[in-house]
Amino acid sequence: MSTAPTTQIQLPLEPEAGRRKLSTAKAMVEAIAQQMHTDEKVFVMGEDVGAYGGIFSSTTGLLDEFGPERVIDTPISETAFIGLGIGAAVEGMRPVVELMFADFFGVCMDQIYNHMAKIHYESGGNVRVPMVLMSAAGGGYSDGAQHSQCLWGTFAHLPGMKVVVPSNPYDAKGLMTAAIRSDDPVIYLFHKGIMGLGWMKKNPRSIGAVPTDAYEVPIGKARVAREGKDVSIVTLSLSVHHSLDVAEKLASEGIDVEVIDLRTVVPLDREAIVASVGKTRRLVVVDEDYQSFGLSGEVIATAAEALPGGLKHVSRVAVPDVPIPYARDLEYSVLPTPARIEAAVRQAVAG
Amino acid sequence: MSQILFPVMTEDAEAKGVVVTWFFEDGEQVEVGDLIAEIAMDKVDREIKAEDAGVLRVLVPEEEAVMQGAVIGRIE
Amino acid sequence: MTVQSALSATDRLNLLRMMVLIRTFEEAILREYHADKSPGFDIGAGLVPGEMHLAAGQEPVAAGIGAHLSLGDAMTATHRPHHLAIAHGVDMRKMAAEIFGRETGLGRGRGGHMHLFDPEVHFSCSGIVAEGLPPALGQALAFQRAGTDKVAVAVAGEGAANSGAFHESLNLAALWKLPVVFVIEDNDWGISVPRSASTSVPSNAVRAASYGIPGTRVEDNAVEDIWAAVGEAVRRARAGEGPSLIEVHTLRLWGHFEGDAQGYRGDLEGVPGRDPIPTYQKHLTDAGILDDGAFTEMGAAASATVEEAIAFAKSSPLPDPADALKYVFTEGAQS
Repeated sequence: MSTAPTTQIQLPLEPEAGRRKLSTAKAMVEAIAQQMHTDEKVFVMGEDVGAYGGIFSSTTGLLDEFGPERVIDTPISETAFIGLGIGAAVEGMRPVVELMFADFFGVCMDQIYNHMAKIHYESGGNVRVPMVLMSAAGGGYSDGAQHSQCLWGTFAHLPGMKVVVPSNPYDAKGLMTAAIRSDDPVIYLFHKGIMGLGWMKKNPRSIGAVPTDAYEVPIGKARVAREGKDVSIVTLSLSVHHSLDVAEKLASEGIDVEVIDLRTVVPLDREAIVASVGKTRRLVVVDEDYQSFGLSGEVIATAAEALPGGLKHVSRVAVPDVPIPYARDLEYSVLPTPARIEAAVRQAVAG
Repeated sequence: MSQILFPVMTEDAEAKGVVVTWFFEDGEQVEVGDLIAEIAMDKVDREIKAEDAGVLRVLVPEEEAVMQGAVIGRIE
Repeated sequence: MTVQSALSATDRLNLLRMMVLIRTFEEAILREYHADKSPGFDIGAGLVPGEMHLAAGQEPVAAGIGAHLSLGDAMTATHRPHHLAIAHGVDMRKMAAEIFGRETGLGRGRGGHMHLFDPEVHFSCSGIVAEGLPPALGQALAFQRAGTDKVAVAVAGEGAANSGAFHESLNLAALWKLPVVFVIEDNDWGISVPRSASTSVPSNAVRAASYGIPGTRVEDNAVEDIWAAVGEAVRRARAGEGPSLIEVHTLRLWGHFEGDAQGYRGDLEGVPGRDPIPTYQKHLTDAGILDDGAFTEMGAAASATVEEAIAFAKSSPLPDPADALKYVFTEGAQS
């Protein structure tokens, strides 16, 4: 449908995936373990990261492999242990700290956004905070308004933290490796629905090929998850899975959907967004975070600023500005479901 | 050729579990030590690794109830 | 404790009756929760989806508190709230309906089992550890300003006593002499983390001294001792003498949530023997005020009440997805 010339998005060099498959959770754990082997300054800390192995299996097996001095269960004292992570990072350690649910940021946000995020700037670049704060995000399993939020837009709004949000095992390992090696503080948000957990309604796309050796997925680079010429879906995390499902379905009707997996929210890969939307001229942003004042608006602003008058369609499929409801039918009516994504794409190409 | 058995995880002979994930598809080549499946019974997960190299045959699909000790696949 | 003598035979039977009612409810929810989550456990499936934190084993705490509260007193509870809600007089049918995500539920299906709000009996809870404590201070302040002798009871787990909200709340309540009773349910486990790995003191009761308020620890999940300790704390609060802290060594009979295999838990084998209900049943039987027939009758009555509530919940209408955006604001619809 589009007559605009195809702009090839520059992809970073990343290794071949190979034949071995892992779940996203296992890929994350492998990345952490490899960095712990490589660098004795790396340690893991958080609630239930030890014997339990992380409520969403983000640290399974690490206690057995590295012992309780490097895989540390904490009290339910998020302000204290996240602040402790900051201090340890300032002194040259490389903590990987888990905040059990992203929703819990409320009890410890001062350490995160006034300290972890600002120390490097306030010190004129003289003090580094090489820390990873990982946390589970997302809903879809009736966990209610205090355990189902994504909130990456909230973290991204506050300068000084990188924010990465993988959608699959390959990126999960590569982004975790990059995050641990980064000298900046990195928020690493994993949606529970991409972890490949049997008890969490496993999506087939949460199992995938992962290189055995350590590698980095560059922070700040989006990925073309599916090439297409008619409409661009710009999305991230579990919504990538849904968008790809929709794209495959619509391909049989001749609707050619491009899916951009942002992978990182901060820094946002604006070039990738503009390249894709410049090609298709139709943009659907799919985001499981709240709709207003967040990522979806930022993506649209990016496209609009770069392509004035060049857009034939802009819309977003996000959570309308409502706390996440408990009852399943209510929750699924506000989540960016495949049905809502499909409807938005159809509307985009009809216009 | 070797058989892949659902491990015996409880004393309850009637207990059933499921294959949560097959990490290879039916007909794919696997090597010794490959993680080929993850199973779950009574809320406990366990990994199954390939004891032989060969072509994987999946006999029990994911999420289907299966008795412990049952043959869930083969490596040919 | 000499205070125990104040308990009549009827009072004691009522404590047991409440414990049995709570257990019956939790067992029914357990049954319904797992009914359609097999063979593979899918947390989001079934008539009751989501995380489910059941309070079996912690009934004495709820029964011991509830006996001292009357209509108008407030309670804030935790992510594990059912026992406290029942003992505080929350409408069981509406609570069951909320757990089943129905329009007739306490929160019209919007809240779920960790977010139960019943303004008629001033009951609320929070799914965030320790965060139910600060609002209890405000309820107490409102009661104080209104010139009533109502009290607010704030319940949290032993893990919560390591959070800032706990310490800030104790200090402020003490400073302003608010009519609050803080109750810590020490069930030994913060999910998988044992108390010994989370808490620097053997008893959270000693922390009360930091804030100049009385602190008491009740051992052995003993319902009559809980009753006595709460009774004194409530009396103090009603009399304008300020807050108190009580820690109860209780028992998490089941997992942190359903689906928790508890592989980390070395004490599992001894757990059934510490079940407080048979213990108290025997205690009252030995005291000559209960026989097997009366206990069976207690169970049957509880079962009838609970099953009626469950049936009400299951037969209630589901919320209309078109109404998902209602109740964000008081206008009742998104602007």
